[in-house]
Amino acid sequence: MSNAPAANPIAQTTSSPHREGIEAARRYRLPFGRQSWRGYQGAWQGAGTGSSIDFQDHRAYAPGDDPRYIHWAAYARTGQLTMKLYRAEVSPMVDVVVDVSESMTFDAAKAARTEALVAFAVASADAAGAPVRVFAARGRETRPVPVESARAGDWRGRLALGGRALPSAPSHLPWRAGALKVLVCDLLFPGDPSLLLSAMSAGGGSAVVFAPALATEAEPPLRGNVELVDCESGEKRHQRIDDDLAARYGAAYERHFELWDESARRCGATLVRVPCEDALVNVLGGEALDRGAVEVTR
Amino acid sequence: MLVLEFGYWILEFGAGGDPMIPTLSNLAGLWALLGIPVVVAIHFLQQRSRTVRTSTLFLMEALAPESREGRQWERLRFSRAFWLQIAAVMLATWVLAQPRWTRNESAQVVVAVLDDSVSMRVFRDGTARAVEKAFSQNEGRAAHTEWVVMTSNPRQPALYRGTDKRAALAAVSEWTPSSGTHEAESALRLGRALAGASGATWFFTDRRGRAPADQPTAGAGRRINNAGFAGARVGRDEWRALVRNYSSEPLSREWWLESGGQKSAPRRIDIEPGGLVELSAKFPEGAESCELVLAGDEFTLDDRLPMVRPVPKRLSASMEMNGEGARVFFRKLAESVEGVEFVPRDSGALRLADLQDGSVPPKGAAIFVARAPTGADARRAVQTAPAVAERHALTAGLNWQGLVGTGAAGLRRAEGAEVLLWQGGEALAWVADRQLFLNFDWETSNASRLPSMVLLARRFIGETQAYQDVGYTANFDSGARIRAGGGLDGALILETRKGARELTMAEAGVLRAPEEPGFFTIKRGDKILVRGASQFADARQGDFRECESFVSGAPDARAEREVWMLNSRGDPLANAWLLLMGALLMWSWWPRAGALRETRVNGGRVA
Repeated sequence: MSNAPAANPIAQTTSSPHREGIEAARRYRLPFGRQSWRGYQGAWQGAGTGSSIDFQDHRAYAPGDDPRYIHWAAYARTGQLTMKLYRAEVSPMVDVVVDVSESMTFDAAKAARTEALVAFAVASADAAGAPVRVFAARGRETRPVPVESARAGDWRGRLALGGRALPSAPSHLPWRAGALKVLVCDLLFPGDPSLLLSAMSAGGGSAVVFAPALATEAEPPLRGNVELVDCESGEKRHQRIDDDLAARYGAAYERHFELWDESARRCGATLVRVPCEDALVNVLGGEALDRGAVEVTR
Repeated sequence: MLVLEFGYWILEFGAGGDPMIPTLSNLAGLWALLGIPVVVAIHFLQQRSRTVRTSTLFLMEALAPESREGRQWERLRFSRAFWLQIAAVMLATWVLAQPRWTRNESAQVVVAVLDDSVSMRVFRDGTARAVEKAFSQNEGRAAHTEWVVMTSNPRQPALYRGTDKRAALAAVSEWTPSSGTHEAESALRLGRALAGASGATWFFTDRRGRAPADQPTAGAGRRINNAGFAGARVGRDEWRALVRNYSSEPLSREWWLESGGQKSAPRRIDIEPGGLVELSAKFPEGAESCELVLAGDEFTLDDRLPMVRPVPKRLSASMEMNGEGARVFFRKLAESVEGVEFVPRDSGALRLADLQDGSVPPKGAAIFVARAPTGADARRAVQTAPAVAERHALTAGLNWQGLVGTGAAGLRRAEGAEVLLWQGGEALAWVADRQLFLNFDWETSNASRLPSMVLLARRFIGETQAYQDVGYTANFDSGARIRAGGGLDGALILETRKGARELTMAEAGVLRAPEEPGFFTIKRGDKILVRGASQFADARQGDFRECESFVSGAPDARAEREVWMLNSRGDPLANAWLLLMGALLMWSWWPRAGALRETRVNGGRVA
């Protein structure tokens, strides 16, 4: 007997999660336009001076400066060589880390939503001309994922991770300074959220956390005597679940994500829960768009 | 309902009696209690753990860390339905068990008739337990119970009669069976009459064969291997005793002789199953009594054989007959009787004399023979008419067809004389005032060669000897008749090992050897009438091969139930309990809001 709820009718219209992510990337993109970036020459406003047409500042001439940018009109008025500085245009770096612990795949809808988000992030980075790296993480273990396989949508099949891991936060993640850091993780593990989020925010750039969320996870799985089996550690627990405990569980679940939201605000990260029951394009147009986790593609 | 029932009990309690504790008249109804484990099992099954994979176990652990302990108990959910169904089962059990309360006005008599056979001594404790069990079964069938404990010996009074059950049981424990083999029917008839239709009569014995048909009987016996003395013949100088093995196995026993505080060296005898071994020896030199002892077993009564050196009662006789034939015959006959000795004329306690026709006999015990006729009378013809005996102890079983003589002589028969023999309308022999009259010519008859005449005279001499008011020493079977002789003046005193006691009028009227084997003395004042040894002689009591524990003839259930229904009343609220039970079940099956929600939430989510 499966414990998966019936698939959402809208989600069923999409041929595959990977396809769904690519489709979503046509309408939304990662929040590249939210700040200045550092990186290679590109089409996005950089944090430093460059050769774009957007004026940024004046400064005194220094030997070695490109004479093409001397502000001759100012020199005529003041007799001082003054340089016109323009904003740089760069291609932002994108680091995508996807949590591949068992909790991300124990439900078919959640696994599909995870793959769709990875496809969305990679497609969005590709559309922006941003170099992208993809990593799969489970606990302390992190493996790079070939971008080609991520673009092809078969990255999960090529993963080779070890046995079961305890339900803990992904750590030792290879974030690059100044990059747009995208974490796809359900955040269902105990511990201090700030450890993960502060590591994402360090080194500048932007941090976005997509948390696939199932509505069934927001309340206890059953009522009555239940043997709960942790999908990651296999640990078993006999528990009688009544209405009172169910209510307290629901409150604890909300409190858990409130803590993550609060920690994300303090760390300057954007965290958004991505429901698994609706089509990704619809979901991203909701809370994700409101919180700035995605932008509308021009 | 509970309040009403409680009030009902209070009212009954106030009216007296003990109606608080009901008796279940249908114990089979208690099978309904099996519904309790069924309900528990159902609720266990309903609440069986379902396995579910989850990604949020850490949240559950933080919320209910205590549920790891005692989780086995949590599987049984003490829900409202559970308790309601348990209550319904209890109510159903109550109604099906048909509790009844004893009516205050009911009464019964329960009679226990104890087999007084001495073999029951071995099983006295078992009998006490059987009586207690029988009493417990009958206790409570009526508000008032009278307990009667009596023995099967109709000569004994009831051991207890009253309402105190413990005192009745104590009487059973103190009872000592003392009778030989006897019929218990008369005692049982008396018991049934006492109990009546609403009471109960139980017979307690040790072997099934003694249980009358249709009589509730409890057997408290068991098979034991017994060997004991089965009889003895004790003479002046030697004794012979028989030892019998009553069991089905070969037995080996030691025996010895005790006399005057001395004990002989033990000897061992081996007895085949059911076999007899004779022991014999000289009577100990100078001892007047001794006791033969067999190494003890469970039945001790036949393990000791007391013996006294017999000393017959002395009877002095004087020969005063003239006829040669009669003189020779009666002297020889009297001398053959132990204790009879001849003394000079006119000084004997028994006179053997001839009597002239028509003369008045002298007083005192005597055998008178008609004096031989003389003259013409001496030539009388032989009478051919047959001699016919009257029904009398002296002539019982004797045949007089061979008596040939010249017919009746002329002795005068006193008024009130008991005629023993008739011939042609004339009395040939009679007794009167301890005198035997032989009214025919002895010398011309063949009486001295007739066996019946020998026996008749021998019986009369024996009776005369027994009547003498002098002491004697003899061995008796326990309970055997004793002839002490003499008159009834003065009370008789029986002395045994247990002490001396005065015999009652009934006991003195028919003297019997003590039922308890041992030495005894019977006195009148200071005069010893009998010194004797009472020997266990009822071999049937020593045979325990047929003994067993059993219950037979118990009242059938229908009769018991009818009596119980008469003496009790049922629960007037039984129908109300049934309605309440139905309501409880309906209530338990009515789904609660939480259960509906639970059903909805769990739909399709079980792993």
